[in-house]
Amino acid sequence: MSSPQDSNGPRDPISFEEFRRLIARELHVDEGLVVENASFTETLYADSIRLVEMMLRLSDQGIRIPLEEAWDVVTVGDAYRLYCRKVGQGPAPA
Amino acid sequence: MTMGEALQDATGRRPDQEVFVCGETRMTNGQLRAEVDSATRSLFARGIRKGDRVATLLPPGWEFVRLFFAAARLGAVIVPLSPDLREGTLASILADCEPRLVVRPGELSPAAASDPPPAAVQPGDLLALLYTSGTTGTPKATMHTHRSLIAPVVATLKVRELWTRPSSLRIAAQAVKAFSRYGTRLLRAMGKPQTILSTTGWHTITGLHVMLQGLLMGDRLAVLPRFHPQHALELVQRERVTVLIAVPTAWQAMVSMPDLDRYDTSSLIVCGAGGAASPPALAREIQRRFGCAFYNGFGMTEMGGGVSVSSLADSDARQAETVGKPMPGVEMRIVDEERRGMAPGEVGELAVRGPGVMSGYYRAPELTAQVLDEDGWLFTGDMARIDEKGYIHVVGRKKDLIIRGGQNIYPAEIENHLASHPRIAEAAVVGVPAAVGGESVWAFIRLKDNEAMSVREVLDHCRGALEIFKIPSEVRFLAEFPRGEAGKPQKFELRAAAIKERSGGAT
Repeated sequence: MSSPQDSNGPRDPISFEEFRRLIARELHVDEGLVVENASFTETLYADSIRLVEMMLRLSDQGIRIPLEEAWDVVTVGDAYRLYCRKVGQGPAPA
Repeated sequence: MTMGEALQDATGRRPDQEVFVCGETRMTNGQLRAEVDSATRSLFARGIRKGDRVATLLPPGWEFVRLFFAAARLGAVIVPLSPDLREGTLASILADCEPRLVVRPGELSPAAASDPPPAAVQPGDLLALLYTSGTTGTPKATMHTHRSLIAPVVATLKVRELWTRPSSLRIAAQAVKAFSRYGTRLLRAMGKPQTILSTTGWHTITGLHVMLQGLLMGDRLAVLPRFHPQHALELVQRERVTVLIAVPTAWQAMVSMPDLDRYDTSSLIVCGAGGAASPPALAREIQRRFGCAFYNGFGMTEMGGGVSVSSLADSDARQAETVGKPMPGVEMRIVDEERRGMAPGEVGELAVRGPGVMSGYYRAPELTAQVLDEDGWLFTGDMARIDEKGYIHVVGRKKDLIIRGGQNIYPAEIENHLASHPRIAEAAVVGVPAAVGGESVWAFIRLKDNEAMSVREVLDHCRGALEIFKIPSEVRFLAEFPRGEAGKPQKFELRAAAIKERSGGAT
């Protein structure tokens, strides 16, 4: 199965629904908890190190979130917006 | 000298000198003294007397500073705790130390009371209970006196005399060597108060040590209540920070910033890693990106602060690959299983003796006797060797300890919690080298017969009950553990399997 950003052509970000499903799977949490305003620390029990670990794993699946901005991510919505911004910047690095 | 006397001495010399910067708050030595006077009256009015425990759940900042020194003046015992502690851990710590007062942010208001009578405080009196994770899963408190917390701070001043005020020909010769490497940035800082940036919580020995270093030695303390790489570099630039101490994870975040070069960090003389040793590759990257010296701090809560340190005169390789030499006043030796001294170059357990060593674990004489002998030697549980030039190389750990993001984690605490689940028969937790945070926590689980469980259920059992950094990153189920002769799980085999899996090998 190809990952969401494998194509070299114009790419669309994955939907928020898909994004939150991936996060729920990576963090092993109930999908119902992964809502836009859910705090990674308070609701999903993921501190900054776990957040970066998760971003690295998502990156392996083609979902790239700028790691250097991980420290500014508080909620699931923050992470999704960063991801969308990254997609909007052009082709992902090979 | 007591902590109260040390503060009087430090603040009395240059009352108009700025000594503290945190956000919008700026304080001079004179204001610091007045604030501590006010807090002392408040604490006294609340009934705090010599020997009473005062617990704090405060982030690094002004409130902590005034409370810490006020408690010290009254002879009270401060118990600095992480504001992020989970309810269960907090309850067990409070039951252990029985504080007369627990202070949260905004709770210590000024009192209009009169000055309390001077308390008869001695340097050997208990000043702080610093909690660390316990090997058995129960938090334990190290007991520190006024003397044992001040001594390591004074020692750091002696280490810095190389560029602040060379006091002998030997030091002057080293200074010349350092000037040839670090040039103008050293000249700019020479003979002046240093600006020390604190980025770690003050409930940790690293954080507390840096706080005292900044306030008591005629320098200036810049404070970041919660680490953020961009904010840290902005502070370095704005306040012309000369000494920056952070845990390796924080360093990793800073050197990874794509726009790092846009910050002016030319004021930095020393970058230091606390909480855990930095991998040599990261140390070299810090040296390269910041163009200054890098020190791997080595210390434990039990030692009251750092016990060894590098020097500006040391080569880049020595700074990156060793933890330097013993601090002034500290003795070190390498011992075997029977605690007999070993020859130079041999690997054994590192034992330390010096004025910063704790008095013992609070209300735990048997635990104390396991690590502290009658002659004052503390057996650290770290495996090390001392080379022919006297540099200390830490090579591993004898004790079962994981260090993740600079935080100590004893696997037993997690294992005990996991085993409390009705479907889990046994758990073994190991630390596995990780690209982020130094080590990650892996939990291996053996379920009871005919039971089933998902990773999510295991983690849900941990969430809310364990501190967030102790929640395993990875969970694996095994039908049986590899075992040694005594029947205990062979953790080195589990760790090896985890490393193999992580690197893409089959398990």
